[in-house]
Amino acid sequence: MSTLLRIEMIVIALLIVTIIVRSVNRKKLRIQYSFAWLIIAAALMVIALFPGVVVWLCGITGIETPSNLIYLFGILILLLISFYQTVLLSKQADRITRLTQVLSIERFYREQQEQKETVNDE
Amino acid sequence: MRVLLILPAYNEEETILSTVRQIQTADMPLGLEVDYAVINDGSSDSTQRICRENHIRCISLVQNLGIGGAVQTGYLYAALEGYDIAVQFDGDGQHDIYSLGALTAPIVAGECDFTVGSRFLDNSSTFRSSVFRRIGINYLSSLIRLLTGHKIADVTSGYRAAGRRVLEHLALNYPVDYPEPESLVQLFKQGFRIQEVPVNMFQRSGGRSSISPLRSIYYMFKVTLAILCAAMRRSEPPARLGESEAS
Repeated sequence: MSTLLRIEMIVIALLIVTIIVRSVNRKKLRIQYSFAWLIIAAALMVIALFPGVVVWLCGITGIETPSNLIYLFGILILLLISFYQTVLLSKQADRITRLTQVLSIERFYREQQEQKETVNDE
Repeated sequence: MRVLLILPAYNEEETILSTVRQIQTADMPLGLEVDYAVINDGSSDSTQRICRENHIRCISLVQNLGIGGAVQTGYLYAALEGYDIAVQFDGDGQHDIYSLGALTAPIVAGECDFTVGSRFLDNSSTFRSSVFRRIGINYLSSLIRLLTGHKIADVTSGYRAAGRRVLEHLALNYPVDYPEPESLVQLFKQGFRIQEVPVNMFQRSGGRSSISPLRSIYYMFKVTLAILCAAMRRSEPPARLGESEAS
Protein backbone atom coordinates (compact mmCIF):
# COMPACT_ATOMS: atom_id res chain seq x y z
CA MET A 1 0.00 0.00 0.00
CA SER A 2 1.51 3.34 -1.08
CA THR A 3 2.27 6.02 1.47
CA LEU A 4 0.09 8.50 -0.42
CA LEU A 5 -2.94 6.15 -0.19
CA ARG A 6 -2.29 5.69 3.54
CA ILE A 7 -2.18 9.44 4.09
CA GLU A 8 -5.38 9.85 2.09
CA MET A 9 -7.12 7.24 4.22
CA ILE A 10 -6.05 8.96 7.43
CA VAL A 11 -7.34 12.29 6.12
CA ILE A 12 -10.68 10.73 5.14
CA ALA A 13 -10.96 9.04 8.54
CA LEU A 14 -10.32 12.32 10.36
CA LEU A 15 -12.82 14.07 8.11
CA ILE A 16 -15.50 11.48 8.93
CA VAL A 17 -14.85 11.83 12.66
CA THR A 18 -15.06 15.63 12.42
CA ILE A 19 -18.33 15.58 10.47
CA ILE A 20 -19.91 13.03 12.80
CA VAL A 21 -18.89 14.82 16.01
CA ARG A 22 -20.11 18.15 14.65
CA SER A 23 -23.42 16.62 13.56
CA VAL A 24 -23.94 15.07 16.99
CA ASN A 25 -23.19 18.36 18.73
CA ARG A 26 -25.54 20.29 16.46
CA LYS A 27 -28.21 17.71 17.26
CA LYS A 28 -28.47 16.66 13.64
CA LEU A 29 -27.48 13.09 14.45
CA ARG A 30 -28.30 10.92 17.43
CA ILE A 31 -25.43 9.30 19.31
CA GLN A 32 -26.83 5.83 18.64
CA TYR A 33 -26.61 6.33 14.88
CA SER A 34 -23.10 7.81 15.02
CA PHE A 35 -21.46 4.53 16.07
CA ALA A 36 -21.57 2.89 12.64
CA TRP A 37 -19.80 5.86 11.04
CA LEU A 38 -17.21 6.14 13.80
CA ILE A 39 -16.42 2.43 13.47
CA ILE A 40 -15.90 2.91 9.71
CA ALA A 41 -13.52 5.80 10.42
CA ALA A 42 -11.68 3.70 12.99
CA ALA A 43 -11.34 0.82 10.53
CA LEU A 44 -9.90 3.18 7.89
CA MET A 45 -7.42 4.48 10.46
CA VAL A 46 -6.29 1.00 11.48
CA ILE A 47 -5.80 -0.04 7.86
CA ALA A 48 -3.82 3.11 7.12
CA LEU A 49 -1.57 2.77 10.18
CA PHE A 50 -1.16 -1.01 10.04
CA PRO A 51 -1.52 -2.18 6.40
CA GLY A 52 -0.26 -5.57 7.55
CA VAL A 53 -3.70 -6.27 8.98
CA VAL A 54 -5.27 -6.23 5.53
CA VAL A 55 -2.58 -8.43 4.04
CA TRP A 56 -3.01 -10.86 6.92
CA LEU A 57 -6.81 -10.89 6.43
CA CYS A 58 -6.31 -11.54 2.69
CA GLY A 59 -4.25 -14.57 3.55
CA ILE A 60 -7.00 -15.95 5.79
CA THR A 61 -9.94 -15.26 3.46
CA GLY A 62 -8.20 -16.22 0.22
CA ILE A 63 -8.87 -12.84 -1.42
CA GLU A 64 -6.05 -11.99 -3.82
CA THR A 65 -5.46 -8.28 -3.41
CA PRO A 66 -5.91 -6.05 -0.33
CA SER A 67 -7.96 -3.54 -2.34
CA ASN A 68 -10.55 -6.20 -3.18
CA LEU A 69 -10.87 -7.05 0.48
CA ILE A 70 -11.44 -3.40 1.38
CA TYR A 71 -14.06 -3.02 -1.37
CA LEU A 72 -15.85 -6.17 -0.27
CA PHE A 73 -16.01 -5.11 3.35
CA GLY A 74 -16.99 -1.59 2.37
CA ILE A 75 -19.92 -2.85 0.30
CA LEU A 76 -21.03 -5.29 3.00
CA ILE A 77 -21.01 -2.59 5.66
CA LEU A 78 -22.97 -0.19 3.43
CA LEU A 79 -25.55 -2.94 2.74
CA LEU A 80 -25.85 -3.55 6.45
CA ILE A 81 -26.35 0.13 7.21
CA SER A 82 -28.98 0.59 4.49
CA PHE A 83 -30.85 -2.51 5.68
CA TYR A 84 -30.83 -1.14 9.19
CA GLN A 85 -32.15 2.15 7.85
CA THR A 86 -35.09 0.51 6.04
CA VAL A 87 -35.96 -1.29 9.28
CA LEU A 88 -35.86 2.04 11.07
CA LEU A 89 -37.93 3.67 8.33
CA SER A 90 -40.64 1.00 8.63
CA LYS A 91 -40.75 1.40 12.39
CA GLN A 92 -41.14 5.15 12.04
CA ALA A 93 -43.87 4.75 9.41
CA ASP A 94 -45.79 2.53 11.86
CA ARG A 95 -45.37 5.09 14.60
CA ILE A 96 -46.53 7.95 12.37
CA THR A 97 -49.60 5.89 11.41
CA ARG A 98 -50.47 5.26 15.06
CA LEU A 99 -49.85 8.92 15.95
CA THR A 100 -52.13 10.06 13.13
CA GLN A 101 -54.88 7.68 14.24
CA VAL A 102 -54.77 8.61 17.91
CA LEU A 103 -54.48 12.32 17.13
CA SER A 104 -57.42 12.18 14.71
CA ILE A 105 -59.62 10.35 17.22
CA GLU A 106 -58.66 12.82 19.96
CA ARG A 107 -59.54 15.72 17.68
CA PHE A 108 -62.86 14.05 16.88
CA TYR A 109 -63.62 13.79 20.62
CA ARG A 110 -62.76 17.45 21.13
CA GLU A 111 -65.00 18.58 18.24
CA GLN A 112 -67.84 16.51 19.65
CA GLN A 113 -67.32 18.13 23.05
CA GLU A 114 -67.34 21.62 21.52
CA GLN A 115 -70.52 20.85 19.58
CA LYS A 116 -72.20 19.69 22.77
CA GLU A 117 -71.16 22.87 24.54
CA THR A 118 -72.51 25.13 21.78
CA VAL A 119 -75.80 23.22 21.83
CA ASN A 120 -75.99 23.69 25.60
CA ASP A 121 -75.26 27.41 25.28
CA GLU A 122 -78.14 27.99 22.88
CA MET B 1 -75.33 -5.62 21.17
CA ARG B 2 -73.64 -2.42 20.07
CA VAL B 3 -72.44 -2.41 16.49
CA LEU B 4 -70.19 0.16 14.83
CA LEU B 5 -70.21 0.53 11.06
CA ILE B 6 -66.78 1.69 9.90
CA LEU B 7 -67.07 3.69 6.67
CA PRO B 8 -63.63 4.44 5.24
CA ALA B 9 -63.99 7.32 2.76
CA TYR B 10 -61.36 8.74 0.45
CA ASN B 11 -62.74 11.35 -1.95
CA GLU B 12 -66.28 9.97 -1.78
CA GLU B 13 -68.13 13.31 -2.02
CA GLU B 14 -70.58 11.89 -4.58
CA THR B 15 -71.68 8.92 -2.53
CA ILE B 16 -70.96 9.44 1.16
CA LEU B 17 -74.16 11.33 1.94
CA SER B 18 -76.49 8.81 0.26
CA THR B 19 -74.62 5.91 1.92
CA VAL B 20 -75.05 7.46 5.37
CA ARG B 21 -78.70 8.32 4.68
CA GLN B 22 -79.28 4.68 3.72
CA ILE B 23 -77.80 3.58 7.04
CA GLN B 24 -79.84 6.11 8.99
CA THR B 25 -83.14 5.20 7.39
CA ALA B 26 -82.69 1.41 7.17
CA ASP B 27 -84.53 -0.94 9.51
CA MET B 28 -81.85 -2.42 11.69
CA PRO B 29 -81.88 -6.08 12.79
CA LEU B 30 -83.55 -6.70 16.15
CA GLY B 31 -81.30 -6.56 19.18
CA LEU B 32 -78.60 -4.55 17.42
CA GLU B 33 -77.86 -0.97 18.35
CA VAL B 34 -76.13 0.28 15.21
CA ASP B 35 -73.87 3.35 15.04
CA TYR B 36 -71.67 4.44 12.20
CA ALA B 37 -68.44 6.41 11.89
CA VAL B 38 -67.07 7.77 8.64
CA ILE B 39 -63.28 7.69 8.56
CA ASN B 40 -62.31 10.46 6.17
CA ASP B 41 -58.84 9.46 4.98
CA GLY B 42 -57.52 12.93 4.26
CA SER B 43 -59.82 13.47 1.27
CA SER B 44 -58.87 16.33 -1.02
CA ASP B 45 -62.46 16.84 -2.17
CA SER B 46 -65.41 18.12 -0.17
CA THR B 47 -66.06 14.88 1.77
CA GLN B 48 -65.20 16.55 5.06
CA ARG B 49 -67.38 19.61 4.38
CA ILE B 50 -70.34 17.45 3.39
CA CYS B 51 -69.97 15.44 6.59
CA ARG B 52 -69.82 18.56 8.75
CA GLU B 53 -72.78 20.31 7.10
CA ASN B 54 -74.97 17.23 7.42
CA HIS B 55 -73.90 16.38 10.97
CA ILE B 56 -72.44 13.06 9.88
CA ARG B 57 -70.28 11.47 12.54
CA CYS B 58 -66.87 11.67 10.89
CA ILE B 59 -63.34 11.10 12.13
CA SER B 60 -61.11 13.07 9.77
CA LEU B 61 -57.56 11.77 9.65
CA VAL B 62 -55.09 14.63 9.87
CA GLN B 63 -53.21 13.12 6.93
CA ASN B 64 -53.87 10.41 4.36
CA LEU B 65 -53.00 6.94 5.67
CA GLY B 66 -54.32 4.65 2.94
CA ILE B 67 -57.18 2.20 3.30
CA GLY B 68 -55.46 -0.01 5.90
CA GLY B 69 -54.65 2.83 8.27
CA ALA B 70 -58.13 4.32 7.83
CA VAL B 71 -59.97 1.08 8.58
CA GLN B 72 -57.69 0.47 11.55
CA THR B 73 -58.67 3.87 12.95
CA GLY B 74 -62.25 2.62 12.90
CA TYR B 75 -61.29 -0.55 14.76
CA LEU B 76 -59.32 1.50 17.29
CA TYR B 77 -62.32 3.78 17.84
CA ALA B 78 -64.62 0.75 18.21
CA ALA B 79 -62.22 -0.77 20.76
CA LEU B 80 -61.99 2.49 22.75
CA GLU B 81 -65.77 2.99 22.74
CA GLY B 82 -66.51 -0.56 23.84
CA TYR B 83 -68.45 -1.75 20.81
CA ASP B 84 -69.26 -5.48 20.67
CA ILE B 85 -69.06 -5.74 16.89
CA ALA B 86 -67.31 -3.64 14.25
CA VAL B 87 -68.40 -3.87 10.62
CA GLN B 88 -66.42 -2.58 7.66
CA PHE B 89 -68.82 -0.90 5.27
CA ASP B 90 -67.72 0.87 2.09
CA GLY B 91 -68.53 4.55 1.77
CA ASP B 92 -69.16 4.25 -1.97
CA GLY B 93 -72.51 2.49 -1.78
CA GLN B 94 -71.31 -0.98 -2.83
CA HIS B 95 -72.53 -2.76 0.27
CA ASP B 96 -76.18 -3.48 1.04
CA ILE B 97 -77.12 -2.39 4.56
CA TYR B 98 -79.90 -4.99 4.56
CA SER B 99 -77.26 -7.75 4.62
CA LEU B 100 -76.05 -6.51 8.01
CA GLY B 101 -78.27 -8.91 9.95
CA ALA B 102 -76.99 -11.94 8.03
CA LEU B 103 -73.40 -10.77 8.38
CA THR B 104 -73.50 -10.23 12.14
CA ALA B 105 -75.78 -13.15 13.08
CA PRO B 106 -73.00 -15.79 13.45
CA ILE B 107 -71.04 -13.44 15.73
CA VAL B 108 -74.11 -12.57 17.82
CA ALA B 109 -74.84 -16.29 18.15
CA GLY B 110 -71.26 -16.92 19.26
CA GLU B 111 -70.59 -19.28 16.35
CA CYS B 112 -67.55 -17.41 15.13
CA ASP B 113 -65.34 -14.36 15.76
CA PHE B 114 -65.23 -12.84 12.28
CA THR B 115 -67.45 -12.96 9.21
CA VAL B 116 -66.71 -12.16 5.58
CA GLY B 117 -69.57 -10.96 3.39
CA SER B 118 -69.36 -12.90 0.16
CA ARG B 119 -70.55 -12.09 -3.35
CA PHE B 120 -69.93 -15.63 -4.55
CA LEU B 121 -71.60 -17.98 -2.08
CA ASP B 122 -74.99 -17.89 -3.79
CA ASN B 123 -76.64 -15.94 -6.58
CA SER B 124 -78.42 -13.45 -4.35
CA SER B 125 -75.87 -10.74 -5.11
CA THR B 126 -76.49 -8.42 -8.03
CA PHE B 127 -72.75 -7.76 -8.23
CA ARG B 128 -70.88 -8.89 -11.34
CA SER B 129 -67.13 -8.49 -11.62
CA SER B 130 -64.74 -8.74 -14.57
CA VAL B 131 -63.10 -12.00 -15.63
CA PHE B 132 -59.64 -10.80 -14.57
CA ARG B 133 -60.89 -9.79 -11.19
CA ARG B 134 -62.47 -13.20 -10.70
CA ILE B 135 -59.22 -14.94 -11.71
CA GLY B 136 -57.28 -12.81 -9.22
CA ILE B 137 -59.74 -13.47 -6.40
CA ASN B 138 -59.78 -17.22 -7.15
CA TYR B 139 -55.98 -17.29 -7.10
CA LEU B 140 -55.81 -15.51 -3.73
CA SER B 141 -58.54 -17.75 -2.36
CA SER B 142 -56.61 -20.87 -3.40
CA LEU B 143 -53.40 -19.49 -1.94
CA ILE B 144 -55.05 -18.81 1.40
CA ARG B 145 -56.65 -22.25 1.37
CA LEU B 146 -53.28 -23.86 0.65
CA LEU B 147 -51.57 -22.00 3.50
CA THR B 148 -54.25 -22.06 6.19
CA GLY B 149 -56.48 -25.00 5.19
CA HIS B 150 -59.57 -22.80 5.26
CA LYS B 151 -61.68 -21.91 2.26
CA ILE B 152 -62.89 -18.34 1.84
CA ALA B 153 -64.26 -17.61 -1.64
CA ASP B 154 -64.49 -13.82 -1.59
CA VAL B 155 -61.14 -12.97 -0.01
CA THR B 156 -61.09 -9.34 -1.18
CA SER B 157 -64.53 -8.51 0.16
CA GLY B 158 -64.52 -5.31 2.20
CA TYR B 159 -67.86 -6.07 3.87
CA ARG B 160 -66.78 -7.81 7.05
CA ALA B 161 -67.77 -8.01 10.68
CA ALA B 162 -65.51 -8.51 13.70
CA GLY B 163 -66.46 -9.56 17.21
CA ARG B 164 -64.96 -7.92 20.28
CA ARG B 165 -61.78 -10.02 20.49
CA VAL B 166 -61.01 -9.65 16.78
CA LEU B 167 -61.67 -5.93 16.71
CA GLU B 168 -59.27 -5.45 19.59
CA HIS B 169 -56.69 -7.49 17.73
CA LEU B 170 -57.21 -5.54 14.49
CA ALA B 171 -57.02 -2.20 16.32
CA LEU B 172 -53.40 -3.07 17.04
CA ASN B 173 -52.45 -5.23 14.05
CA TYR B 174 -53.78 -4.26 10.66
CA PRO B 175 -52.01 -4.59 7.30
CA VAL B 176 -51.13 -1.37 5.52
CA ASP B 177 -52.39 -1.51 1.94
CA TYR B 178 -54.85 -3.83 0.18
CA PRO B 179 -55.35 -5.39 3.59
CA GLU B 180 -58.29 -7.78 3.18
CA PRO B 181 -56.63 -11.06 2.10
CA GLU B 182 -53.61 -10.56 4.34
CA SER B 183 -55.70 -9.87 7.43
CA LEU B 184 -57.64 -13.11 6.84
CA VAL B 185 -54.43 -15.15 7.02
CA GLN B 186 -53.40 -13.19 10.09
CA LEU B 187 -56.73 -13.94 11.83
CA PHE B 188 -56.64 -17.64 10.90
CA LYS B 189 -53.10 -17.81 12.33
CA GLN B 190 -54.33 -16.23 15.56
CA GLY B 191 -56.82 -19.06 15.84
CA PHE B 192 -59.96 -16.96 15.32
CA ARG B 193 -63.02 -18.65 13.83
CA ILE B 194 -64.00 -17.13 10.49
CA GLN B 195 -67.22 -17.70 8.55
CA GLU B 196 -68.23 -16.61 5.09
CA VAL B 197 -71.77 -15.30 4.74
CA PRO B 198 -73.63 -14.55 1.49
CA VAL B 199 -74.42 -10.83 1.20
CA ASN B 200 -75.71 -8.51 -1.47
CA MET B 201 -73.43 -5.98 -3.14
CA PHE B 202 -74.13 -3.39 -5.81
CA GLN B 203 -72.03 -2.00 -8.61
CA ARG B 204 -70.20 1.12 -7.53
CA SER B 205 -72.58 4.05 -7.75
CA GLY B 206 -69.79 6.62 -7.92
CA GLY B 207 -66.10 7.21 -7.25
CA ARG B 208 -63.31 5.08 -8.62
CA SER B 209 -61.99 1.66 -7.62
CA SER B 210 -58.77 1.87 -5.65
CA ILE B 211 -57.22 -0.79 -7.90
CA SER B 212 -56.48 0.35 -11.45
CA PRO B 213 -55.68 -2.27 -14.13
CA LEU B 214 -52.05 -1.17 -14.41
CA ARG B 215 -51.47 -1.65 -10.75
CA SER B 216 -53.14 -5.03 -10.45
CA ILE B 217 -50.03 -7.05 -11.36
CA TYR B 218 -48.00 -5.21 -8.73
CA TYR B 219 -50.91 -5.69 -6.35
CA MET B 220 -50.87 -9.47 -6.92
CA PHE B 221 -47.15 -9.74 -6.21
CA LYS B 222 -47.41 -7.60 -3.13
CA VAL B 223 -50.42 -9.41 -1.70
CA THR B 224 -48.86 -12.81 -2.43
CA LEU B 225 -45.71 -11.79 -0.57
CA ALA B 226 -47.74 -10.36 2.31
CA ILE B 227 -49.82 -13.55 2.55
CA LEU B 228 -46.73 -15.77 2.50
CA CYS B 229 -45.09 -13.70 5.25
CA ALA B 230 -48.27 -13.70 7.34
CA ALA B 231 -48.57 -17.47 6.95
CA MET B 232 -45.05 -17.96 8.30
CA ARG B 233 -45.53 -15.75 11.31
CA ARG B 234 -46.18 -17.32 14.66
CA SER B 235 -49.30 -16.26 16.50
CA GLU B 236 -48.93 -13.47 19.00
CA PRO B 237 -50.31 -13.27 22.53
CA PRO B 238 -53.78 -11.69 22.72
CA ALA B 239 -53.67 -7.99 21.89
CA ARG B 240 -54.00 -5.39 24.60
CA LEU B 241 -54.62 -1.73 24.06
CA GLY B 242 -51.73 0.29 25.44
CA GLU B 243 -52.02 3.16 27.88
CA SER B 244 -51.24 5.60 25.10
CA GLU B 245 -54.34 4.68 23.09
CA ALA B 246 -56.77 4.14 25.96
CA SER B 247 -56.66 7.64 27.36
